[in-house]
Amino acid sequence: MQKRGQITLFVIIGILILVVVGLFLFFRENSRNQSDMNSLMLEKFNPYVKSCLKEIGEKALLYVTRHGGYYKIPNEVLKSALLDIPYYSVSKNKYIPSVNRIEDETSGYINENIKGCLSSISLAGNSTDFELLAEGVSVEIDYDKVKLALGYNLFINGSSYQKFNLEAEEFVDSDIKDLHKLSEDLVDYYSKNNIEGVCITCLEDLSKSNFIIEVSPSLNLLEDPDSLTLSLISKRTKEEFRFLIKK
Amino acid sequence: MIRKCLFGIVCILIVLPIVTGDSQFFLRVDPSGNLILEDQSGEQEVPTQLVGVYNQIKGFLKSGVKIGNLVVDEKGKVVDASIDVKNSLTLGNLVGIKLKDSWIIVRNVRFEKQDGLTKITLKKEGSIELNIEKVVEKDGKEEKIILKSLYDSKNFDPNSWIKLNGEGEVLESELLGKKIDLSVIPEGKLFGIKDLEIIDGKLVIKGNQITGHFRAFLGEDSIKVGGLEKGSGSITILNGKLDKISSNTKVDFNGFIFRVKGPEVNMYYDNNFDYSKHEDENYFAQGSAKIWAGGSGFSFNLVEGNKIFPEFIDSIIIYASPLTKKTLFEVSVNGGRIEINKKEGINQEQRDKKPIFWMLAKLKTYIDSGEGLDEALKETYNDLGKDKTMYDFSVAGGSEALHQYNFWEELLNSKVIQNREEFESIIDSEIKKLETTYGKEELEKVEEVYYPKIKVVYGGGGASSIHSVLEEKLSAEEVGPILDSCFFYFQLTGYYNVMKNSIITEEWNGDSIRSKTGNLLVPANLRDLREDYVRNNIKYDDDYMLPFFPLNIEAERVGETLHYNILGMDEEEDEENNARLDEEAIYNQEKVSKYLFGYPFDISVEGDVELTDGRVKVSSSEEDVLFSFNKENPDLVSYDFVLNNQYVLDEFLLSNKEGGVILDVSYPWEKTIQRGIDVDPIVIKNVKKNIQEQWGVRPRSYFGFLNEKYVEDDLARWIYEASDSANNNKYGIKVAPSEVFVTYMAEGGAVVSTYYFGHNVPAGGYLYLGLDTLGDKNEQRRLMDGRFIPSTLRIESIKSIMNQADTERVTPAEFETLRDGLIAVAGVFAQRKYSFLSDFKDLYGEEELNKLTDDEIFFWSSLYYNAGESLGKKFLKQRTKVYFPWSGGEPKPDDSGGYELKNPRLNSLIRMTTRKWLEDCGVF
Repeated sequence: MQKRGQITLFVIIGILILVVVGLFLFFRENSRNQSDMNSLMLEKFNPYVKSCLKEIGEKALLYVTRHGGYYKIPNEVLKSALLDIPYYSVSKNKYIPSVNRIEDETSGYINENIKGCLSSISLAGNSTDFELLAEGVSVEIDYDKVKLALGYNLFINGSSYQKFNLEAEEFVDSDIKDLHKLSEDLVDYYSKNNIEGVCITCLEDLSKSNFIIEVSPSLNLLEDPDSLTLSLISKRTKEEFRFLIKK
Repeated sequence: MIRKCLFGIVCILIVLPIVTGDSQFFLRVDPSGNLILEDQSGEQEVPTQLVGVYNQIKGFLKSGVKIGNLVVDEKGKVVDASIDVKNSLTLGNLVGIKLKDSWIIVRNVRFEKQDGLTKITLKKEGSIELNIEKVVEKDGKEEKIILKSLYDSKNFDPNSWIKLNGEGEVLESELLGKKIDLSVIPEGKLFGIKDLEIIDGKLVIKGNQITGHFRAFLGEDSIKVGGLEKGSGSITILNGKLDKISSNTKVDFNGFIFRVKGPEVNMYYDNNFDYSKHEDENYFAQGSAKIWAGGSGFSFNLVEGNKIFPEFIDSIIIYASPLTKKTLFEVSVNGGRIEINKKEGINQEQRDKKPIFWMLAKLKTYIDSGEGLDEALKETYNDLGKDKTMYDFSVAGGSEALHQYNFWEELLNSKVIQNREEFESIIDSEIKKLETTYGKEELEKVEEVYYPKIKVVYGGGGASSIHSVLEEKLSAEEVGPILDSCFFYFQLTGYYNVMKNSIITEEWNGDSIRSKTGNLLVPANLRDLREDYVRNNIKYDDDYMLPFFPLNIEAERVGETLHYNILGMDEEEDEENNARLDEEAIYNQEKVSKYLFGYPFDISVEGDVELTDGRVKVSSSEEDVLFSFNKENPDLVSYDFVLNNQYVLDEFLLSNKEGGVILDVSYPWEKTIQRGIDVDPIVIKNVKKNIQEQWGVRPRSYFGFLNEKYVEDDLARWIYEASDSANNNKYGIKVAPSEVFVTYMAEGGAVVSTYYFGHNVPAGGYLYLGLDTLGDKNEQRRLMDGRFIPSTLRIESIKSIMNQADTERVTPAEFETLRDGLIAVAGVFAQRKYSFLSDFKDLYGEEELNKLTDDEIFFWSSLYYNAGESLGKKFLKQRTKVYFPWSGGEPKPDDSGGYELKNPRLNSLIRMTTRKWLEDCGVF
């Protein structure tokens, strides 16, 4: 009885092992197929998607810099309605968005505007019915460059419906981090020093060879005559970082 | 009594022999001061002429006058004299026997006479007053004038002297103290002495003559001196040069106009002037290519004719010669110093890019319908710039202008025209082609069919095209002669009708075209003439504007004679009876140009210097540069310069020499114009392409309306001001200048560009502002209640007419000026935006409202503006079916431009994309 029981146990274990190994082999094969397909799709679509990401990313950065780091300036931030530029300093109080915030704003811009570009992608000589949908954008601002990552879904309507989760990465030349730092320095300067007017020589100390500091006392004249509009321009990337200061 | 009788008897006894005989009498005063009458002939009769002098001298002696020496001959003529005068004396007759004693009044002087010449020397508190009567011939008649002059101790130091002949004319003088006081100016007018010369540091008056202005000739230099605010002014002349300008004096000297309110200004002439040695004084120094000024309380203007900066021109031809604007170059020195260095290598050609010529073109037309006007304006006045075609401007039509443009492009694009013959041969071959096609006789019968040359002659676009095409290929020097030839050629070949209904004729007199009954001769660059043209010629009659041309012009080249007779304009006639336009009448609404044309020099500034205009290079010294904006007088930019680096101020842009820091004090509208000029054509093209691809409609090119300084400054400024005015609404709705601009342009401003005829011309709300209903008083009240438009805005209502879409009767508004019209456009647009946003919130909720993009807001606001609020709301209810890209291509415009009127969705997409184009290119 004991022997028979032992045999049964071994049989069960053996079967279990067989099942486990079989399952393992089955899933491994499946997974390998899926991964290969993803790679294939990536290879096929990613150049187009990356091109979109770069194009919209560059636009996003130009837009966001021109609007003081915002894509959509929230209601709680004081801004010039006409110029659509935020105040960074009012009566020595500072309202400068963090770099993280600027990253979010940039990804917001890309999220909302990349759809058109993605939908315009067509594969040369291929009649495959597919759809690309952005899933999420992440933006990492670094010195000299910005890293953009786009998670997107590829839907293929062929004989069978297929979905792939893919990701594209791209780098864009940008001095936004330097410009942001320079804006902080300028706001600090104006907050700490009681200057009536614009001190050109003082700004000179802050300016670096790659950047132009442009001060326009009259750009916002109609709306707010007491404000200064500051534009920090990168000679390298042509990005223009604009914000307002009010004493 | 007895004494008097005895004296009388003696006199008679003395006089008798003189009268009857060959007597010789002399009056003299002996060293003891006794008056002695000598009779050398032994006659007893004293000459009557001598009696008066005798009595006069007696009186002098009685009043304490010291006579050192005096000899008077028997005719009463002073032969030799030496008199010290203390009190006031009249002694004109002692200077010359023809003069009355009252003509010369002296006090505290030394009077000396020898050899017929009288020298009068001032003593302390002395004065010499001359009131010499003369008879001069004027207009064939004799006229008595009085030559007045005054030399007194206020103006001249003691020992100053004048030497007079027997006629009372000042032949010579030595006026010490070097001051010429003009305090004798009667009633504030300038008193003048002509023919002054400075010889060896002495002011020599060669003769007196009353003139309208004081003018002294200092070598080759000329000078005009006057007092500030009608007072008197004074200057000091030393060694033939202007040495000092006293307080309260205005001096026009060597191409500078000085106004000295504060302490006197010392003048220096030194190429190596060292300002550091003159810091305690007011100074103005001139070198051969540089000037220095420092101190406080004075200002100077640079004016044309300046010898140091002969390149400087102070009047610029803006619209049509000789309509000129004065440029202002004024520096006020208030505690600082300024140096102006002439820049090397600037020549006329580099400096002056304004048109060097214009051609005559002719418009022979009379338009008697609204449609006609529309055609004329479209065909004739749209300029063609590099970045736009006629098609961009025209809703409809435009084919002629386009054809014309293409014709010249085609004709000249591949060729460089070297001379007149070559040019003519091209024209001739084109004429022959047409003649071959249509037949010469047939061609001439048809009024609306043009010869190629007609297209040049009549149209601004065509002529401008020639200019621009030629200028791209040739240098300015080469273009001039060719275009001269063109002009000549066209004159010879006659003129042509542009439109039917021509009722005005002109005649050709062999040399120039002369209007007979008041037609218009249109300069090639039509903008040149627009200002005064419409201002004076657009009149109203019922609902239509009827342009007519009561304008007589003969013109050849800029700078040459131009005869004007523009009705309604203030005129002045010059000596040749050529009417001159009163500049102020044209520009009475405008300030003097803020711009200096040509930048032939750099300026260094230190300290408090107010610089109204110019290009400034700032150099030197120690601490911080602080800029402050003068809010009270925003046209005046004030700089506090204490520098340790080099800076450049180019118009309103101050930058350090590396360009790393820029202070831009230009106004937003100036910036818009500048950006319109600077925007890269490739960017324009690419941005347009992207937008067009994305939205399926062709954005309209309005760049050309905001890219010309002087001409488009006002338009840009009004756009901004209009936006500002609308933003005063009580709902907090904001309207951007770009929204106002695009709305105005799209409603008709781009086609009916009356702005270019005259900045202050009336603006038709119906015709080109899209204000079809603002004539209604209730509508006005609604907008004013919401403070969308100011309650002071002058709005004229015209009678109700069918709207342009021909769907309902409306009451349009009219405005006295385009500026007012734009304020209304901005206000109505803001109200429509408010209305849209309210509707949107009701329909889709606040959360969705917050997600609206700028583009979509502008799209819907435009739709509300264009189609009206109620129709707008109907569209809005089907939001996603309305706000999406256009597909299938735009419909071709029909002759009336109808599609634009009938499809507000398309209109709004066009406006939205147009604005996006402008914004993305950074113009706004």
